[in-house]
Order: sequence, then structure tokens, then C-alpha cells
Amino acid sequence: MIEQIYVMMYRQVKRFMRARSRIIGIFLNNILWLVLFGLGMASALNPVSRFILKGLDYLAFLLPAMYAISIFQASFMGGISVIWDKQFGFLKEVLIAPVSRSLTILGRALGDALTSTFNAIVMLAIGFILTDKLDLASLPYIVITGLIMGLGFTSLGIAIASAIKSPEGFQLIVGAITMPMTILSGAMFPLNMAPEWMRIIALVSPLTYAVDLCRYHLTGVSILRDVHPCLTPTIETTVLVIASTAFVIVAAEIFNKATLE
Amino acid sequence: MKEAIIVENLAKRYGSIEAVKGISFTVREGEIFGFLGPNGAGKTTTIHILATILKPTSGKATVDGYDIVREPQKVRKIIGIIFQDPSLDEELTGYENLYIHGRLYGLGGQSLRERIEEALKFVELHEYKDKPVRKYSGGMRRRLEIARALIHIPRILFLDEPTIGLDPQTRVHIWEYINELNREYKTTIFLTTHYMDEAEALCSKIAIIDRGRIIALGTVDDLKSRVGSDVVYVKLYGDNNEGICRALQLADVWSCKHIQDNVLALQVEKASEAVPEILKYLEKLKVKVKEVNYRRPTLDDVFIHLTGREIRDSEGGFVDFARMIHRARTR
Repeated sequence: MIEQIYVMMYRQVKRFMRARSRIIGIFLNNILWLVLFGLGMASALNPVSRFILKGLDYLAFLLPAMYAISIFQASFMGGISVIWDKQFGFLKEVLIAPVSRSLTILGRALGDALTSTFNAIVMLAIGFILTDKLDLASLPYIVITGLIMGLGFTSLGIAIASAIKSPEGFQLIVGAITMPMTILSGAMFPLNMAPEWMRIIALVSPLTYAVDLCRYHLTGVSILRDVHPCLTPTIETTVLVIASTAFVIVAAEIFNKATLE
Repeated sequence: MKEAIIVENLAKRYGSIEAVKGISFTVREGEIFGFLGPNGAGKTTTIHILATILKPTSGKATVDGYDIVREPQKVRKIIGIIFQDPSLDEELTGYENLYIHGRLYGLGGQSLRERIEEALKFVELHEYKDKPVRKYSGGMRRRLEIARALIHIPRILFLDEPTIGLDPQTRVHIWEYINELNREYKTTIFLTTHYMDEAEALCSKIAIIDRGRIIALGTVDDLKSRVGSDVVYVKLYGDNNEGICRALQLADVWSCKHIQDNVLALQVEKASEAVPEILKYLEKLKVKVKEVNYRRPTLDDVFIHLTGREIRDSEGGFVDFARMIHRARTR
């Protein structure tokens, strides 16, 4: 059992290490966001940020969220990349193997969760240079949270990729899911000041909890709890675990039924 | 000998299109069995059903005694398959592709490493093992896929159009591997092809499939003898042979044509049996024979005989073209 999970993890990690240009690309993208968007917004907001961001400056507000967002996007994309395996044929090799498909898909999701968390940690390391407001001691929590959400969002990507037929639908999915989820997560602006309808929609997305949780661990500030006092870090973690487990199960279900038709 | 594959009334329907219309056949252990037919005949569908990645609409099939619908995991464990289109991970090296395959099939440690080395040497790719597959040529990929299918020593190996899109030299090379595999490892081989020469070079038994039905089944010789007429050319000393032609009608000869001054073309049922008879007669007639040779009908003649069409110009035109483009993109 461990064997089958391991072998797919091995594959995903190997591929990750092989795709240097992609790693550099994601990394550059994150840095540019931090420097251009982060510093730009920071200079505009910092005079008032202490009031609207519960005492945080904008970079300390943004960085933990960027960590979560980076994991979300990388792992979601990783999951969606099943569609390229379909296109390039490797999927057949997996479908024909005498192994449990649920386990191969779990291995794959774990591999992607691992690589995207690793990526995000590297980005966070640069953040530690830009601001001294982040709590280094929370790193283990951050890594665990990253792996849980990575696992969930990779599975979500796998489920979607298994359901759609062609890579043409790919951009549509990315636009219709990644972008709104990113914005609604409260990564870039404080959700407590957003209109109520937006807050309600945001609460449906597991990413919102992940962002808030990472922010809580790294800075001690939870924006969501400000609006909904019941959302303690424990509750948020529970929501995230449940959502990720559900995504894993759904992905395994769909993948189990996959044929070559 | 035991039956490795038994297929009974197997059918597959996609919506309103019936790709496979109830086929039955058996493949014996140790045999190289070929499915010959034009593109779109249902060959790939059949191979995918037998390899358990498609479910049949109706009918029954067992592979090495295991039911393909009820015991797919058991079937998967003992078969190897090489798909028509590449199924390698392009970003990984040849070695890593084989390694992942081995682990997926429950191998590991020193024995897996040895298997990989052996398989890579078998297909002569050992020196390229650490190069990413994306840098391999089309022929090298095919060879790597053969090596990969060997890692877990399958009892039955499925090959879907093993040499499609390869240059003539590489094709002959691949045939050698397949033959050697069958000899050395006693692997039962089931392959599909739309190349007559491939079917002739490899297969001990052939099923000709057209539009989802098996229209003929037998050894290459069996199938050819169905066309009925081998042509025997007899070259004689002397010129006046008109009378001889008539006399020969007695000896298993269907028709005799005088095609050159001293050459007779004789249509016979089976040249290998007819030639001794013909020679006996000619000796009786005291006619001296200078040379005898005969031409066997090709499998293409058989297909034409059965369907009235040639294999190469049946249906597939557009599909072939689309496939070629896909291949150019992915290879």
C-alpha cells in the first residue's frame, strides 16, 4: 500500500525537480507579486493599515496569505496536469497497472502537495527578510497546514481534470475557479470589510480558511474570527481537513471509474 | 497446449456505433497471434478490452484463465501492453520510466535494478538510460516501451500496431525483439497491425478483422490457400508446348496458360503439393524442365478476395492523417 503511494510521489517529485524553468517561473511570479503588489499596496495602506488590518502592516498581512495562495495555485495546477498525462499517454500506464487507483491518486496528490509546499516555504523565506513581523516558531504548523490544503486542492484538480475531456477546457476552469477563489480568500484585502454577500460566498471556499489559518499561525491575527467569533483556529483546521478529505475521496471515486473512452 | 486467451462473442458499442460486433477466437500459449485489418476495424478496441481498460458491451473473454470483467486486477498483473500511441513520461529518464513501472508492478530493490538493466540491454538503450525520454527518437521510445513491458515478465504481451510510424530499418529491428521475446521468454504475444508484411514476419496465427468482424482466421498459409490459387511457373526446354498444357490439366492444375515461348503459368490450389505432381506428369510426358518457381498470394490478396477492398485504402485515410499529426506533435 505504502509502495503504491510512494511510487507516484516519487514520480511527481522527480518531475518537479526536472522542470527547473517552471520552478523558477512560479518563484519569480511570487517574488514579483510580493515586491510590486505587496510593496505598492503597503506604501498606500500603511498609514491606515494598523487600524484596518488589526495592527498588522500590509506585508505581514499579505505574506502568510501569499504562502497559502501559492500552495493553492501550484497544487491545483498539479492536479489539473492529469489532463496532460491523458494527452501524452502516461495516464494509460497508470490505468493499466495492477494497483489500486485510489492509492496511486493519493500518492500523486501527496507528491504535488509536497512540492507546492516546498515552493511556498522558499517564498516565505524571502518574506522573512522583508518583514520581521512573522513568527518563525509557527513553521511546523504552517507546513502541516500547507500539506493538508495541498492534498485537497491537488485532488480537486485531479477530479476536474478526470471529468473534462480536453485541454481546451483547461483555461476556462483555471479562470473560473482559481481567480475568484484567490480573490475571495481574503488574501489581498481584509474580508471583514468586504460586503456581506462576498463574505458569505468566501466562507464556502476552503481556501478562505487556509488563508486565515496561515495568517493566524504566522502573525497571530485572524480576520475571519473578527467577523465570526466561532471560527477558532481549531475549527478552521477541522474545516480544512474535512474539505481536503472530501476532495481526496471524490478524486479517487472519479479516477476509479476512469477508462480510456 | 493451453489456451492463453479465449474470446467469445465479444462486442463493444459506442453510442450507435458498433466497433466490435461479436468476435470469437482463441490464442494458444506461446503463440504470436496477429489481428490484421484496416484502421477502424476494431483492433484497438479489442486490445483495450482484453487489457481491461475498456469494458465490453457484451460477450466474454478470459486472459490466462482470468475473466477480464470480474478479475481485472489479476489480468493486469500477468499482462504487458504496448499502446499504439506513446505512453511514457517524457520528463523522466528511460531508467526512471522503467523504475516506476517496476514499482507499480510490485517489484523493488536489487532485483528490480537488475531487471531494468537487463531490459535496457535487451533493447539496446542502456547507454541512453539517463537521458530524458523527450530527447529520444520515435524508434527509441518504442524500444523503451518494449523494455518497460518486459520488466514484470508478463505471460502475455499485447502490442497495438507496434511499428506504426517507424522507418523500415527500425521496424525490422522491432520485429527481431518481438520474435526473440517469444522465443526466449516463451511470452504469448497478441498484436494488431495493418501491415501485411508485419503479420507475415511475426504471426504464427492471424485473424483478419474488418468492420468489427473476424472474416478469416488461420495460419498465414491457411489464409493464403483460401485465395485458392498459387501460381506455378514452369520453364521448359524447347518451344512447342501447347499440348503439354492440356495434358497437365490432369494433375491438380486448375488452369494452364502459355505465357512465353517456353514458360507455362499454372494455377494450382496449393503449390507445395502440386509441384511434385506436376513434375511427375512432365516426366511421364518426357518433357524436360529447366526451372520451376511459384508465387504465393500475399495476405493483401486474401483481404481483397474476402472484402473486395485493399487493406491500405479502407476507411483509415483521415484517421491515419490525424494520427500522424498527433504523433508529430507528441514525438
